[in-house]
Amino acid sequence: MMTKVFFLLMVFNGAWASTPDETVYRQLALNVRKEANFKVPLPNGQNLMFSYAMQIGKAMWLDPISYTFPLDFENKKFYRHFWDKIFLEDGSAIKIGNENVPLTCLYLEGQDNRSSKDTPLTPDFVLKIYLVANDFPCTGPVNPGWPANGGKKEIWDTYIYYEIRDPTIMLPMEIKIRHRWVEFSATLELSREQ
Amino acid sequence: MKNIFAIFSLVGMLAHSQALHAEIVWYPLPPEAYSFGKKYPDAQRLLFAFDYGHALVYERLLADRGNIKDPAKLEKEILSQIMVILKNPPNIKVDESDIAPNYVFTFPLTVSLFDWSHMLHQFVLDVMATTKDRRTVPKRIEELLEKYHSNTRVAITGACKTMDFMDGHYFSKTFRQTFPSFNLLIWSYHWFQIKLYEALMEQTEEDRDDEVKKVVAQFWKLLSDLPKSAPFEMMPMTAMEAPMFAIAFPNIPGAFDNNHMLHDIVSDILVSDKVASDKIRGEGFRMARVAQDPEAYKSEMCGRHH
Repeated sequence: MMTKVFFLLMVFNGAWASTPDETVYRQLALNVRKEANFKVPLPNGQNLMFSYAMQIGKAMWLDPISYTFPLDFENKKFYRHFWDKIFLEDGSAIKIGNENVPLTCLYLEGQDNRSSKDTPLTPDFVLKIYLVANDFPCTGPVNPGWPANGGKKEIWDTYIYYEIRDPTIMLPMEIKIRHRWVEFSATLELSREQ
Repeated sequence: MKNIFAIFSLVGMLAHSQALHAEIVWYPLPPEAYSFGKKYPDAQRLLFAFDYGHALVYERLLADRGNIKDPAKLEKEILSQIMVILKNPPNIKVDESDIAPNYVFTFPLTVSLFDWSHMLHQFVLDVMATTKDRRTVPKRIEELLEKYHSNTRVAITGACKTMDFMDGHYFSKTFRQTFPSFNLLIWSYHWFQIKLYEALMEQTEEDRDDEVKKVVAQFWKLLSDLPKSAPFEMMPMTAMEAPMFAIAFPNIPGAFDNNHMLHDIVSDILVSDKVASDKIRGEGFRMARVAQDPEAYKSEMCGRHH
């Protein structure tokens, strides 16, 4: 019995130690662009401009959470999903017109394709980045107790979303802004890039 | 076998993550959650109505900001709307963002602090109202308090603050000077919430039921002819209005009083013309952080006006 308990403790201890991949995933989250400018192209040239600037704070979890999805029986090919949440420091904000909406956390949903890719068209990583406003404890995307504990199913009323497929340049793609539940597609405003 | 290891590893990771996790959602809900309302539906519905009334006032003040020509007329108009709500209170907790979307969007941190704190208020009432074995009440309340403070991102400090936290700013007291009846209405809300805790300190169920009834009746008297009927010179404080509760649970009054003071601060920010419109959000944010800071405006005399 004692041997089993000791063995289980070893398993738990093993789970708490960062693996090299988890360190990489955390670093990807920390390397996201700290500021950028965007545009929602609208007819008549009345484009909506917005930007963000953020300072990275503490990570919510000790390590990113990850899950390996095997693609063969030998575990040689697999892809891995990972998730991370990083709090942002006070002063981080989305700027829309004259309004500064406080950015509170960075949420990363990632996919690691490195062991399974067989064409250069497949990116090593796909990073889905949410720069979230107004969720100070970073509870989202969904209310974990919904519907029993009331409120709305989704928690985030305002965020900037984009995807990154090349972590060397961290170029935002597939950009979207949700502003008070209303969503717009956007483009990176290169002329104003820092 | 490997799968079993994976499951244990995942459980270990999640358990470890939980310790670092801060949630705005109280999850899972305590087993006693909202049982106060089953025992005392009239009092519970009034509490739901207060949330509604607060949100309504804040939204109106934000919408009409800078265009209030006759404050007394506006006060009378909104008071009559609120009295309708208080006399026909909602049966469910209404989401503030559905009543006051602009207020919620302008004060995101403050609203998060209020939401988290109101859950503590509610669950303490639930435990005190329905726990059969009264010896277990202190332990349950300590557990709730521990959960509350574990969410450091949105917990208001339990350290007592001086009245300067509420009244020592360039915008302070504007709300109560401009809208005296509104202010007394809100202080009556605070009084009601505090008095319920004191009522639930009674030893027998019969006495608790009687005391809650008395508190509800006294509340209506306070509102019977505002401003004359609510003779508060200062904001009601937990230690003064609920001395038995404050002695039994000394770690709670500070958090409740700080919450109530922050409500008054928001009211002042919304009404004061010394706060420029483009500074409202920033001032709300700044004062919310002060409410969380145990060292800011720290008082050694808990629950006393000084």
